[in-house]
Amino acid sequence: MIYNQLTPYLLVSAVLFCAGLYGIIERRSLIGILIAAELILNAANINFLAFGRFMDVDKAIGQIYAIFVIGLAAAEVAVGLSIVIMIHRKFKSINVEKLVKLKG
Amino acid sequence: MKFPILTTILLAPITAMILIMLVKETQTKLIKTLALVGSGISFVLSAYLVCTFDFQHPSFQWTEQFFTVPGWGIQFLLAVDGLSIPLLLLTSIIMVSGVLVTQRLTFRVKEYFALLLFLVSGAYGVLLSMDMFFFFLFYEVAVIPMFLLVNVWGSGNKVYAANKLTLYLLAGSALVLFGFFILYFKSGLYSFDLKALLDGNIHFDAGTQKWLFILFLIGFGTLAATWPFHSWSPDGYASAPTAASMLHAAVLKTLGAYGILRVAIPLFPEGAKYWQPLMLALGTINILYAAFCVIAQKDLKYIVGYSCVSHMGVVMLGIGTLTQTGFNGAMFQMFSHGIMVALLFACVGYVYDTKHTRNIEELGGLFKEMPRLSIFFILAGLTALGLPGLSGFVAEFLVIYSTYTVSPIYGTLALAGLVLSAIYILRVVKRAFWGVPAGVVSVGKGHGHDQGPILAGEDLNWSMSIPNYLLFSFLLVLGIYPKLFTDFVMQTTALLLKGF
Amino acid sequence: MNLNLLHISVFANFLAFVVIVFLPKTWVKRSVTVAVSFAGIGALASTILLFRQFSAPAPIEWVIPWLKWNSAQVNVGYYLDTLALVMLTSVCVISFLIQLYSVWYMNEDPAKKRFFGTITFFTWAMISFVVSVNLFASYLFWELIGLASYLLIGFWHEKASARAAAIKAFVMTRFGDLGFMAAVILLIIQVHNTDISFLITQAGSQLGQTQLLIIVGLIFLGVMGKSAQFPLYTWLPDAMEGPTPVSALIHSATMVAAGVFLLVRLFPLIELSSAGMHYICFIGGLSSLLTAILALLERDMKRILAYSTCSQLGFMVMAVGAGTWSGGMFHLLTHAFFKSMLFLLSGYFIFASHHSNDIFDMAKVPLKDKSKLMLALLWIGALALAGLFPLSGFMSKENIFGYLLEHHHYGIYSVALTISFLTAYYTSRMAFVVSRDGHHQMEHHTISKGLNIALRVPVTVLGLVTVAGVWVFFPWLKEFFQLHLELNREFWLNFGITTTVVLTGIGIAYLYFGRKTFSEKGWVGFVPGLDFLIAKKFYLDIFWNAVMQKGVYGLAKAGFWSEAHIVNAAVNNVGYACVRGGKAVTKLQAGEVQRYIVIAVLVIVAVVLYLTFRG
Repeated sequence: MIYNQLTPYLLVSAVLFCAGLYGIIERRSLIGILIAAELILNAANINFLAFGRFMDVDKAIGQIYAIFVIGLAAAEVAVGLSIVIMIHRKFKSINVEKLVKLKG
Repeated sequence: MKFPILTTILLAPITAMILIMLVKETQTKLIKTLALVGSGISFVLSAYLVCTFDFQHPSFQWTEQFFTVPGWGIQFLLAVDGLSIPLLLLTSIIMVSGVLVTQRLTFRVKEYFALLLFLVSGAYGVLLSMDMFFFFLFYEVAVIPMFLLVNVWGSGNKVYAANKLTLYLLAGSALVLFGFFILYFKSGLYSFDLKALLDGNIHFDAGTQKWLFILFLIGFGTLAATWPFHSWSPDGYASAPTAASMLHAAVLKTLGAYGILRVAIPLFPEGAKYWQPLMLALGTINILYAAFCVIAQKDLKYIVGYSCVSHMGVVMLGIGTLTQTGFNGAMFQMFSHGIMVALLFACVGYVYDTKHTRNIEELGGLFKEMPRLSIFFILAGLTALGLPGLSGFVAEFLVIYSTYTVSPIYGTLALAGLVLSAIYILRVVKRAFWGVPAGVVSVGKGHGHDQGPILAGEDLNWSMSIPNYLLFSFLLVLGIYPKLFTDFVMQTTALLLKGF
Repeated sequence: MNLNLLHISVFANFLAFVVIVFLPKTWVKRSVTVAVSFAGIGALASTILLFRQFSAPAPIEWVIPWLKWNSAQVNVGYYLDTLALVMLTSVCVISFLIQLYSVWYMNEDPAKKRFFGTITFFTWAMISFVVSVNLFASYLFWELIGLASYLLIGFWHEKASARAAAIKAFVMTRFGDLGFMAAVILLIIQVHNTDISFLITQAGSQLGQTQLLIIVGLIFLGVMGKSAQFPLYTWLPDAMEGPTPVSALIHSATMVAAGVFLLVRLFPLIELSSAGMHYICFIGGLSSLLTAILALLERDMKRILAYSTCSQLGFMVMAVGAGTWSGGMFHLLTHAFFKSMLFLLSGYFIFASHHSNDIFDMAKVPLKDKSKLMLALLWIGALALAGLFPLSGFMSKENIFGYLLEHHHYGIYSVALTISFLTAYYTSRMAFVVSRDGHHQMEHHTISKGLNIALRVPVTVLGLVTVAGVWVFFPWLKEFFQLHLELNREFWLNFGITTTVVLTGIGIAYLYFGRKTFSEKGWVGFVPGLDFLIAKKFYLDIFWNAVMQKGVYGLAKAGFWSEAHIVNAAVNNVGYACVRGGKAVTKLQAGEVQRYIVIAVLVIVAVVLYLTFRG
């Protein structure tokens, strides 16, 4: 059965990861980038769970890490959003392309 | 303990510099006096060294050692021999005259003299230190202030010139630094002590010698304005203020050639023999190429700058012969060329200050307006074209003679350079100095009797021409009695060839 | 005692130079007095020395070491044998007379002080060259002579032509000088000694034939420059831009004489190379002939004299090359006296015709406005130059002719006869034209009494020497120069031939210029193409101009171009490349976060790929 194999989980997580990466690279909005980052974290979560399930280790380890990551993600979003708000106050924009102050 | 002469020579300009920094900006008289005293002390002491120098003793004299850095092989070691003493004297003469010709400066006097003193202390340091670490340290000290001197007090395309000069010399010095590190490790001494290296009969194998020699040749050669690494020098001198051009052309270029003689020749005799054809060719190209470049120039400072490059070719050629006579000639040329080019720059600087142009097509008749200045320029020019009775001739003769013993073809080509130098010097004299002052029309068929009114130009007055007299007296004395100088360097140059 | 006299005669002029340099600017009159009186002392000392030392058995030698290096040593000092002594005396005396004359000539010039300073320096350099003990030291003074002549030719530097002529003289002679210098260097390398006494006795045996030829050729290159031989003679006519006394000095006993004197000085060495001798003889004859032809149509009196100098120098060089050093030297001496006189006279006639050098302008001046004494002396000088009995020029030329005949050099003999004919023609042409009676009324010049002495005494003395000098000293000269003047059959034959040739030349000149009506070109106009060639000066000036303009300045422009477009361009491009590279790299750090991420990802991928496929 397809549910009993590692590969489909990894494929889904890889797709999710790539979608997240694409989002980070291509989205102009900071919020979008944050969401894309969430996608990457979730891809990691799927990996943790899948490896936890199929590898010969204690099942709890993968799940503990996944819960940790979810917590971290929540904290990160909180910090990230507050930074976005500050940026918006200062620059009147959350478009990353307009936030460039270095010369090059 | 004996009075530390060498250290005093080195510290006098540094002390003067520090004192100048403490003085208020507006007290220009005091600043100028301090600069003069600082450089004067070094001058007197180097003259003393010259007078008490033991001719028969080929190796180092008056060694002074103050501190060492244990474990790193670094020590503060000063010593002089027949190679460095003449150049020490040269540096101090040029510095004193450089300070004297700048007496009319009004713009940022304090910083100017401080930088000049800093530069000259670097030059003293290179000549005095017998430790590669301090050698390199002072080498950099001598190079850097020029950047500011050109950028702040310069004229013309000064930013370009300052960048080019500084970057070029730093690139050259990077090679030298690299070479020093190689020496540090390869010699097996794990010490920067140059004296130990020279005395220690250390023999490198032929392959190492070859590439180390070319490394030092290019590194020091850049500073000595060897073709094709010369182009910083005319640009730099054309933009630099008078005293800085004097010091740089007379002393710093010489330091490059001094480095080759001091480090590269005695340590890598086989490398020198291997690269001898290259040195001869570069020297000859330097002479001829730069001479042709002068003929086409119109700016007085470029003319002097390129003629300076051409004369450094004589030094390179003399070193390239790898004979004692050639080394003597090269040393003679370094000294005589230094004095001569300083005199030329002093005169050109004066002309520029009074006439506000250096273009020889716009000048003319300076001899009528400023006879004293013109006579100095012409005498220095005659030295440049190798007129007997002035020191340039002896130097060029010695070099060309030794070139003939090695390769008659290069000797003949170098001789041809003498015709070219006659052409370019006389061309300048003709355009800028002879003739009628601009704006005055000659009347009559030329019997000289009936001149139009002559505009009174400001000639050098008596006190302004003291540095010129000082410089010229050396050209004349060495030209009339060259034995004074050759006896001086004879023993040391013989020692350079002991590995051959 | 003799050494002291020698010191005096050598250093009198130098002392005058030093004193004049240090005199204040305004002391013009005093500097003239200093120059003339010191030169007078020098002339007196050298004359006394001549009488005391002439038949002395050993030369005076006095040496100080000057420069030493591992393989050789160079000395300076005196080597005064009879040859140098004769030359020394004539230089001192002629220079003194010319300086005396300059008191008149330069009277109104504001730069008199500079003039007398330079001329004493010039004389000193020449004297030192003559008595020098060492060939290297000779070279030093040889160059100083060049410098002094540069300064004097360019004395009126307000004139562009004078400036150009001065540079031309210096550069062209310098070109030759380098040959001399190379010869000195080669001699030092080969024989380790350049003392004159060594060179003329022993050096020859230590040199191979090829080496000898090279050295002789190089020395002769120097002579070609200084003594104005083909193809380097073009500076000499232009050198007329200098004041007339300077021309007189340059063309008689100094500068151009230095070259011939050097040949004579080193004759025992040069003689050993027969190929070298042939070469010298050929160049001498060629220069002599060419410049004699150039003089045929010249209108400028000083230039006529200049060409005649070239021609006579060529004659001397030819004689030396043919093997008679004494012939060349003797002619050099007699020529020095009458040629300096002729130049001094030309100064007078130029003055009398209101500063025109043109002989046809001089012809317009009425005869009563020309001094009878000067005209008489002009004729004496001209006839001496032509080589007419019993003047000094006759003796010295006859000596050379006698030698050529005796040694059966018939080819050279006929060339010499041709030159002699041309010389007789153009000198008497000049004299005929100058002494014509004209009708052009001009205001009369007066010369004050003191100046009149300065004008008349030197020319008269020189005239006396020209007429009688040779006869007074005949026994000495005959002994020293081994003159070929025995009164035998060959002598009379030779005398007949040369006198006929000279008289023919004078006669033809009379036909065209001595009678009431006269043509300007004379017979030269009838020779097809000749006047064209003369007008073009045999293309030699054009050739040297091309060398200078196209060659030297062309290369200079090339150098200038390559400096801008190759050397500097290379340096600048290295700089620009650094800047461009820097700009390119800064794009990576432009503050665009997303670009950073792309790079980071790519790097991670690359690292992973590398780690995966490494094995």
